[in-house]
Amino acid sequence: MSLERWHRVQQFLFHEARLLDERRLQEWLALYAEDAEYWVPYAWEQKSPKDHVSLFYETVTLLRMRVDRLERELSPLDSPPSRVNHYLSNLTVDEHGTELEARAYLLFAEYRREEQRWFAGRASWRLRPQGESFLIGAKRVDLLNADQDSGHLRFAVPF
Amino acid sequence: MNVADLWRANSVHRAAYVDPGVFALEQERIFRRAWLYVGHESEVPQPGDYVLRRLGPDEVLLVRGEDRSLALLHNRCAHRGARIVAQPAGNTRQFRCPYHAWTYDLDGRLLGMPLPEGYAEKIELGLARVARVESYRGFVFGSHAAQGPGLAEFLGGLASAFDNMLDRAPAGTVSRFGGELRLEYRGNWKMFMENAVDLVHPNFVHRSSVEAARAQPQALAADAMTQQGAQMFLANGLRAPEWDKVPLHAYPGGHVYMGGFYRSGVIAPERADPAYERYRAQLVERHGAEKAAAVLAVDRFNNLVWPTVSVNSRFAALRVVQPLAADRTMVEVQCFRLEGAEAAMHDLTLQFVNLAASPASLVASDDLEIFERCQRGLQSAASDWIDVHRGALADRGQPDGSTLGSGTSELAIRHQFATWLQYMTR
Repeated sequence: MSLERWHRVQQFLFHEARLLDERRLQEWLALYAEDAEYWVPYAWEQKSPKDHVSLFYETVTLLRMRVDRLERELSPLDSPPSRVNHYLSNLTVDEHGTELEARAYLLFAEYRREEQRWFAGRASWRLRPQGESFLIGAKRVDLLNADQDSGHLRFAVPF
Repeated sequence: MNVADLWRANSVHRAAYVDPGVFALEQERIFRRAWLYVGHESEVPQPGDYVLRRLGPDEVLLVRGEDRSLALLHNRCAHRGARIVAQPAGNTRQFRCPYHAWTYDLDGRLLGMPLPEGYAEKIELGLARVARVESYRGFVFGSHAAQGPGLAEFLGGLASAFDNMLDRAPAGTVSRFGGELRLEYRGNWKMFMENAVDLVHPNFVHRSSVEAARAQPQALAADAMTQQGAQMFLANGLRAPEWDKVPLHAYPGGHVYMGGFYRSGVIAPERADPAYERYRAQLVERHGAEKAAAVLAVDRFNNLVWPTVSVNSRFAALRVVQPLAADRTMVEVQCFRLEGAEAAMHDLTLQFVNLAASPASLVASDDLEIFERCQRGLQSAASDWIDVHRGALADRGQPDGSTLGSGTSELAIRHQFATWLQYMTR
């Protein structure tokens, strides 16, 4: 892995984070391949989304519905809209055939009315090179407290 | 204010939702008396298996004993009170307190402790047992009250929800799978039980996911998960007259079920796809054609076993409400495998839970927001009374002792509060 390629992946992931943080959600969706999956497991080291409950397990079409409803501002959940920041660090990139696997630590801050919440986790992406850029084939976010005893309050914006 | 004055026929005082004193009284008079769901027998199949659960205000261990009987023990050392088990589940031959190593057998009897000679007489303390534990066809409930109706009597008209889930299994049994999803909201526990059978809210609260699904018509021809999600989101978009036709059935004991409202695709009661045809054939083999048809014709959505369980037998899922404070509630969501059915049927259950019940769900997350808004609003003394009499004139008594109301009636809330008042004033 050349430093330049690692850097391109890093810049791409920073771009994804920025699109979410700036609520450019249609542009964010456009980074995903049509057959991509977005997954936030519920169990620690969860093997599969097919035999265990997940916090998020969505196809791109389902993500499109998630984005659509946030943009229409019809949902009481997101009124007023939450503000989020995605912080990425500890990035490593490995080649898997024609795809790359990027892994990073993720800090996620969400402010909504009077309350700010923080989540820490590990994110991973399957990336398909597209010229100088990439398409996301899969994204997975493992939250340290995914299965916390007390359960989670509602989520609106993806990690 | 006297608790008997908090409910008057068709309206409820806001203190029932926001007052910590009322919540404390509920813990004592409802959650230390009623049968509460603790787990399924398939979670503790082998001797020594245990799961850590809540039973009202207390943490308990559901344990399979050496003789395969079930015990429900308080997770609290008889010595200094330490929480003994911190793992959600496991298998053991004995429970050993991490503090001073008092040890107990699977029935909670004290096996030994260090320095027994330090005591003037032999100590006979054991882990406190929950007063009653009973299984209804594999679904295990506990009650902190030594006296009271048995479990089958308590379940009454809603035992049929568990029966129907079992009847839908080609092998006649179900088992837990898929872990457990827990979500929290900062609102009163009763809001969940009321909202689960409130058929006026979907058109408003869930409008955003209805519109979002309508904007993606191609989703109905996509993969199975996307299809199911789109169909579930779209279903909330029925018009008021259609919601009105979804019946509400209220039974003695505060229990209520609502009819189904899923009408198309893989979520419809009458499906025509190959996986479902194979499943139907399995049920015909088990039950015969007539009963199999009757089992599949049971079209209900939420089946509420008051005070804290919501069963969905068609999707083999169960939700358990855990009241934590007047303004804090946790909901546990669990999946069941219809034994003998092929994987596609289990996918349906898992996708139902992921897409409709997760705290990130496009549906459930809006409900959670509304509960929090109600809780905030009810802090205000602008008005003390909440009117819930919509549809009261149309309630119709039935020969089996139940009451039938139309989908847009507030029958369920009235019915739950009538039972609430009985518990709270006795």
